[in-house]
Amino acid sequence: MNIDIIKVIQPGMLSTIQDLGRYGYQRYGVPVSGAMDEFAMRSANLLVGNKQHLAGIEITLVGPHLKFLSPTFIAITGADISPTLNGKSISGWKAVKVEKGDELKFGKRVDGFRSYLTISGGIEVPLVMGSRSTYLKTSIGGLNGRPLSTGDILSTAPLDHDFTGLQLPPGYKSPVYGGRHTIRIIPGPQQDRFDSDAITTLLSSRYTISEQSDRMGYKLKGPRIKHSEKADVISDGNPPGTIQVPGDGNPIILLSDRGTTGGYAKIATVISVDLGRLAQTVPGQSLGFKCVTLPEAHNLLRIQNAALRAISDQKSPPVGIKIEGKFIEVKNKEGDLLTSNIRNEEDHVESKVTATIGNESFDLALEVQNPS
Amino acid sequence: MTTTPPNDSQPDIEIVPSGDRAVTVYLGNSIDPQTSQRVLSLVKNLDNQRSESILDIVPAYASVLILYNPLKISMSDLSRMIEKAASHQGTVKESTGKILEIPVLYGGEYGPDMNFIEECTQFSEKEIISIHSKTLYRAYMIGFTPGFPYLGTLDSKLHIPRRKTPRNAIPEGSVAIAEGQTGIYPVESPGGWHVIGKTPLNLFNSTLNPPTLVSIGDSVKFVPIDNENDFKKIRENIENHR
Repeated sequence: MNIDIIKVIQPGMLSTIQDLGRYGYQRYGVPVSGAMDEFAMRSANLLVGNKQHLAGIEITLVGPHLKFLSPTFIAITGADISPTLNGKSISGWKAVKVEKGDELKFGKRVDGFRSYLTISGGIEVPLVMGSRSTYLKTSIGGLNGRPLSTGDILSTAPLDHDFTGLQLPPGYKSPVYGGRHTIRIIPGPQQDRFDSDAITTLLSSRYTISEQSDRMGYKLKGPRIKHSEKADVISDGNPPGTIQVPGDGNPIILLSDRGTTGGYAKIATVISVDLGRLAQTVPGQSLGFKCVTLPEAHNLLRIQNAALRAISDQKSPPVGIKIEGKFIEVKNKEGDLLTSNIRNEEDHVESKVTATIGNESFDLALEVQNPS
Repeated sequence: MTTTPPNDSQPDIEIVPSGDRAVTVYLGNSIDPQTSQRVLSLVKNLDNQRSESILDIVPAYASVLILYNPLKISMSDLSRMIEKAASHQGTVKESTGKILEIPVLYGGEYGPDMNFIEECTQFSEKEIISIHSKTLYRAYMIGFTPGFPYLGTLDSKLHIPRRKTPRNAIPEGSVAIAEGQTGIYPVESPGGWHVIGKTPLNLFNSTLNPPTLVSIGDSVKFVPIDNENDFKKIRENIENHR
C-alpha cells in the first residue's frame, strides 16, 4: 500500500525524481538518465534502509521546501546545501527521523552541486521502461517527465521491516568536493582520431566548466583539442562520461541524459568513480584530467562497491587489498571479505592503490601485495 | 607456431574499451547494408545470451556499444562472449522492414540551414529538395535522442561535415543532414547537423512498443509538403488522433 509522504511547498531550482537509470532502451534512442552522482544516490538509499536502486530526489543548487505527511526516515547525501528540519540544521550522510508535519528546507550551497534526498521505502512513481528516472526532454519517468512543482504530493511504499536508521560506519568521512577538481580518464575509444599532442593538451591544461552544462553534458572551455584530420566519425554509441570533441576543439563530457549515439570523435572517457565528483562540480569551476589504466579504474570501482556494502552492513572501511594471481580481495579491519572474488585477469601490478569512498580518498593506507 | 587459415566469412572485429564499463565493438568502417546486417546479427546473438552482466546494447552503423557491469564480468570473459556472438553470423535474415513516407516542409524558418547548403553545394533550394526527397533511405540506427532515425545514404552531392560548433537547441521535427546521413530530431535538443526542413509527424511515443515511428531496417522516403497550411493540417490531424 502506498502512502502520501511529501508535499512540495517550493520545488527549488531543478528537483527531479531519479533512480539508477533506464537501461535496455538506448537502441530506441532513450537515454539512461538516472542520478548524476550515482554513489551519493546509492549511499542515500542504503542509509534509509532501501535497496540501492530505489527512487529519490536529485536536488540542484537551490533546494526545495518540503512538508512531510507521515513519519519516516530521510537521508541527504551529495552536495551540502545547508538542509534544515523545522529550522534546525541537520547533517547529511545519515538517516534522520522525521515526523508528520515536519518541514525540510535548504539554504546556502556550501559544497558540491547536487544533493540526493531519499526516504525509507523510496519515492513511488510509475516505472516507465523499467525506471523511475525523469528524462525532461521527452517528458518520461518521474512525475510525468517533469521536475517537482508546488503542490505535488509524493507517495512511498513503506518498508516492511523494522528500521532504526543508519549512518556512515566509524572510519568513513563524507566526501568534500571542493573547488579544484582532478578527473580521472581512460583514453579512447577514438584517441587515434586526434593530433599526437591532443591527449597531452588535455592532461596538462585546466578547463572551465561553462554555463552551458546540464544533465546531458558539461561543455568545457580551455585549450582546444586538435583532431588529426576531421572531427566527424561514423556515429556510434556514447559511453557514460565520454569526452567528445566537436570541430571547434572544445571538449564536451557526456553525462546521464547524454544522447545515446553521436558522431564527434571521443578522445577519452571519465572513469565511473569520478562521474559522481564531476556531477558535483559547479559551472565556473575548473578541472584537470589524469589518466588511469582500465584495471585501476575497475579496482577503484570494486573498492567503492565494497564501501557501499560496508554502509549497509555497518562495517568499517576496507583497509587491505590483496592481489593473488587472478584474484582481488578487499577486506575490512575485522578481516571480513568485502568484495566477492572477482577475476582480475589484466596484468596488474602496482605498489599503491588509492581507495575512495564516493569521490574522496580514504585516509587509510591500503596495503597492496604484488602477485610476484 | 600455428597459423589461422584466412576465413572470409568471419571478418575481423575490434573490441575497444570505452571507459571502465563499456566497450565499443567495431565491425567495419563504412555505412553500408552489409555492415549494418552484421551489427544487427551481433546484437541479436548478444540479446539471446541474456547475460545479466550486460546492461545495455547500442547498435550503430558499423559498431555496437556494450555497457557491462565490471563487478560481474572481467574484460577477458566479456571479449570472449562478444567474439563468440560475432562469429555466429547470418542468424538475422535480411529484413525488408516497413516503408514509411515522411512529409517535410523544406526551407524557410523550418530549414534555417538551407541557404548554407545552397552556398556549399551551388545547388538551388529546389534542386536540394529534389535530391533529398528522391532517395529511398535505409534506417541504419535509432539514437542520440528517443526516436531519432539515422538514415542513409544521402546523395554525395549533399555531403557536408557537421557544424563546427553544435547548436544548443534544434526544434522538434527538424529534418537535417550531415555527411552521408539524414535524420529527424524528434524532440528539441542540441545538435550539429544542418537543418533543411521540418516534419509534422511524431517520432516517439513511450507508451507504444516499439516506442519509435522508425525502426532499424525500415525504408524511409521524404515527401515534400507544398505549404504551411498543409503542414498545419497534418499536424492538426495528429493532435486530434492522440
